[in-house]
Amino acid sequence: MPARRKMLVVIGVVAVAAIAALFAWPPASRAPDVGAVVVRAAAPAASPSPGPVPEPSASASPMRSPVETAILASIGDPRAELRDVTARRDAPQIACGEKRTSRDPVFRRFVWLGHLKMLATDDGSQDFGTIAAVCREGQPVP
Amino acid sequence: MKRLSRAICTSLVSATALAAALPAAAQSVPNAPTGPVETQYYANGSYATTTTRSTAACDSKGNQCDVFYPTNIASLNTRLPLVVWANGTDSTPDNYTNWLKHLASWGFVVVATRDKQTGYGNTVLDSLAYMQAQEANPASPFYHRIDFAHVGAAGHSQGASGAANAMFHSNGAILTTVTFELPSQTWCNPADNCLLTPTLTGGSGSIFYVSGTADSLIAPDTQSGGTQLNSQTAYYNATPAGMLKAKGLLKGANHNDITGTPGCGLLGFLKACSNGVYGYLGFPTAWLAWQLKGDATAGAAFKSGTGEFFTATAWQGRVSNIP
Repeated sequence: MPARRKMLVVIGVVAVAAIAALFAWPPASRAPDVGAVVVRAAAPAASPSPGPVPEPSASASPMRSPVETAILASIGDPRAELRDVTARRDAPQIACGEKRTSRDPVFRRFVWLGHLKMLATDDGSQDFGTIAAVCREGQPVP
Repeated sequence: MKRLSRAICTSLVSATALAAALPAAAQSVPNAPTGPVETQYYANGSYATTTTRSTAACDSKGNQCDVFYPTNIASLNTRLPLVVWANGTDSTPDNYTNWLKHLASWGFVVVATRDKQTGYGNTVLDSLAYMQAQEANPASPFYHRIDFAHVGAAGHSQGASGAANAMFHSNGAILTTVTFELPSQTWCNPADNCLLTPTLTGGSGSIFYVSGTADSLIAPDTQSGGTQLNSQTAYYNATPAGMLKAKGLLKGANHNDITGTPGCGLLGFLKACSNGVYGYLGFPTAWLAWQLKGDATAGAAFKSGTGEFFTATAWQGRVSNIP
C-alpha cells in the first residue's frame, strides 16, 4: 500500500521538523537560573572612610527582594538601609551584605541566618570573620 | 513475581510493627545521662501535666500566655515554684512543649508568653505579673497555688537574653536563670535586644549558661578576642563573682535542639531526630530544682570541679563557682 506508506513518511517528516523547531526556537525571555546569586545595591555606595556618613534617608529602594524585606523587618528600624545583599546559592536562607541604621549610620557588614531570624553585625573582631565564613558556598549551614 | 511482592510486603509490615513496638528507651538516644542526678531529672517527674492558655492578653504586647502545670495543682498541700519562659526569635511556646511539660512534671508551674520577640525581657516580666494576678484571683486554678518567693526564668536564643534581662530587671523577684544558646553579642539585633554587659556585670541572682558544641556560630564556648561578650565563657567570666554561676555545653547539640521532641518518628522518617532535647532535660532541670525547690543533692552536682556535672560524659566546657 504505497499511498499509506507515503502518508506515514510525510507524517514522520512533519513530526521530526516540529521537534527540531521546539529545540531551535529561542525563548522570548530567559528566566534567571533557580538559586542564582542576587546582588543588588539597595543604596548608594558609602564613603570608604570609617567615619559616620550622612543620615540615611527613608527613601530606600522600593524594589526589595524577600530576603531584604525579612532582614529589614528584623532590624525594626524604618530608616535602615542595605546594600550588596547576596544570598548564598546553595543555602538561600543565608544572606550577607552591608547595613546601616539610624542609630549606627555607618555601613557595616552583616550575616543573616534567615531560618533562625538572626543577624550578626561586624564588630571588627576576628570572631565576625569566622561568622562571615558561612557566607561562602559549601560551608556548613548552622 | 507475586511471591516476591508478597515477601516485600511481609518484610515492610514486620519492620513497621517492630519499630512501633520498640520502646523509646530502646531506640538510639544521644547524650544519655550518666550520673544519679542527671538520670533522675532526665526522666519526667511524677506529676501528670496540664496546659492552658490565657483567655486574654497576658503581656503588654497583647500576647496570650501558655501555662504548664501539674494537673492536680488544686489538691497539693504546698505552693509550687514558678518558671517564666522566654521564646527564641519568631518562636512560641509550641516549639518547646516537650521541655516545658518536663518542667511541669517536676512540680513547677511554667508561664510562657507567646511573644516572639522576648529579648528585652519586658514581656517575660509581664507574664510574671499575670501569674501574680492569677494567684490572687479566687476563680483561677492558680489561686494561692504559686510560691512567689521561688521564681526562676529560662529561655532560648533571643529568649535566653530575655530570661536573663527579666531576672536582672525584676528587683529580686526572679532568683535564677537558665539560658539555652545565649547568642554572642555580635548577633544582637538591635543591640539592646540583648543581654548587655552593664546589665550583667551589675546584676544579682544565679545563672546557668547552657549551649551546644554544634552551635559554634551563634553561642560558641570561646572567642578569639574583642570587647564584646561573644562566647559562653565571656558571659560566664563577666558574671559577678558574687552570683552563683555555671556553664556547660552539650556535646553535638545545635542551636535549636531544645525545641525537639524525643524520638525520630517511625523509622526516622516522619519527623527529624533531635539531639539536644535529650541531654537538656537533666542538668537544667536539676539546677532549677536546686535553686527553686531546695534540692541540695541536685545543687551538689554543680560543685566546682568535683560535682557530677563535671564527670557527665555528654557535657564539655564546664565550669562553675559553686562551693
